[in-house]
Amino acid sequence: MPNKMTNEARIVPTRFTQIARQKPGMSREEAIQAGQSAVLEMEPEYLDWVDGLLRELWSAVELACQEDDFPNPHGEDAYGLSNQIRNLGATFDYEAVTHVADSFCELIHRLTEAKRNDQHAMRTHLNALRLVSTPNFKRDGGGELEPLMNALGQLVSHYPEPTGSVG
Amino acid sequence: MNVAELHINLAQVNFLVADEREGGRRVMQSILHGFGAVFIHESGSLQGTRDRLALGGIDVLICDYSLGNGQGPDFVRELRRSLSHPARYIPVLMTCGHLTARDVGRCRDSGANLVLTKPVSIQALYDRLVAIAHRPRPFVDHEVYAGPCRRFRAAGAPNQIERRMKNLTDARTEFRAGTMQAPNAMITSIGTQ
Repeated sequence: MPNKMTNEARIVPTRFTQIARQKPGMSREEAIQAGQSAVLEMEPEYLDWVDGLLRELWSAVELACQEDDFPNPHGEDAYGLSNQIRNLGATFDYEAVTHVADSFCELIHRLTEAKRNDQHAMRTHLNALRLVSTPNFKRDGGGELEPLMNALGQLVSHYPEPTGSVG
Repeated sequence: MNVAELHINLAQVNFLVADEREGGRRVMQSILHGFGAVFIHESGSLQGTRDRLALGGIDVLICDYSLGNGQGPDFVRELRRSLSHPARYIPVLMTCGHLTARDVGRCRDSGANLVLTKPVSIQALYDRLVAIAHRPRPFVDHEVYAGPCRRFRAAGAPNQIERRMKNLTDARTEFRAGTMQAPNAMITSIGTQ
């Protein structure tokens, strides 16, 4: 293996590329199905995690709303917790959780850039997140998700999209 | 051959899943087990990840962006630049949640093989592992970047990456034609390669 910077590009063999190509391997369909089954078994655990994260998020939002200055450390906590909830939802077929939590992250990101606090928008997002975390909203949440997301989108759009935001 | 037709055998592969969130680690571990992986190590901290990799024997690193308070990309960059590190060349998959444009640039320039957006899609994870196994990219050793070549052959990348490459190509064309409103540094560097 090369041990100095050479300013060039070359294929460097790794153990992974050698052993992962060995046969027999599962077919793509078998592997994906097994992966989905493994995730499905974790659903009760997922619901417990989300429940715990929502409790923490509720506290963080309440504390963030009490401060005049924004950004504040509680707002940053709320962003982190909302991001955690966002990152798990759709893997467990809770698409609505991911959509609402993503909107919450975007709201806090924009409030941070705008240095503004908006208790109403934050509490509305929190309530929406609690609503869609229930099994009734599993998958796409039926026809109720679209109007909900439109309403949340209006709250977010009060604040300009920061220059560095991913659209 | 299409990536979707290729198989991988993960039974002997040593994975290291580095994520500060227990939920993130558990989900990734379960999916990898489903794919047939047996040897899955985990780390919940940046220092723990650094220490485990230094021991050697890890074949694939799955590293979260938020590791060490958002230092995931810096850590991978450091790994790729450590000339004698035992894990310098191992495939690295970076996972990430809600990102800003600046964050996307950091992921791309870190030296990770591929980026996987959370929530993790089981299909996307499988296809990325297949792409890394069957379509290895040249390792670039340069003073400004060390890691797998950031330019993909059309057949070598998962669909989402192909689409992104098309967007970049379109953007570059606009930039050259002078019709782009706000050219950025990333597109300029691609245009000069």
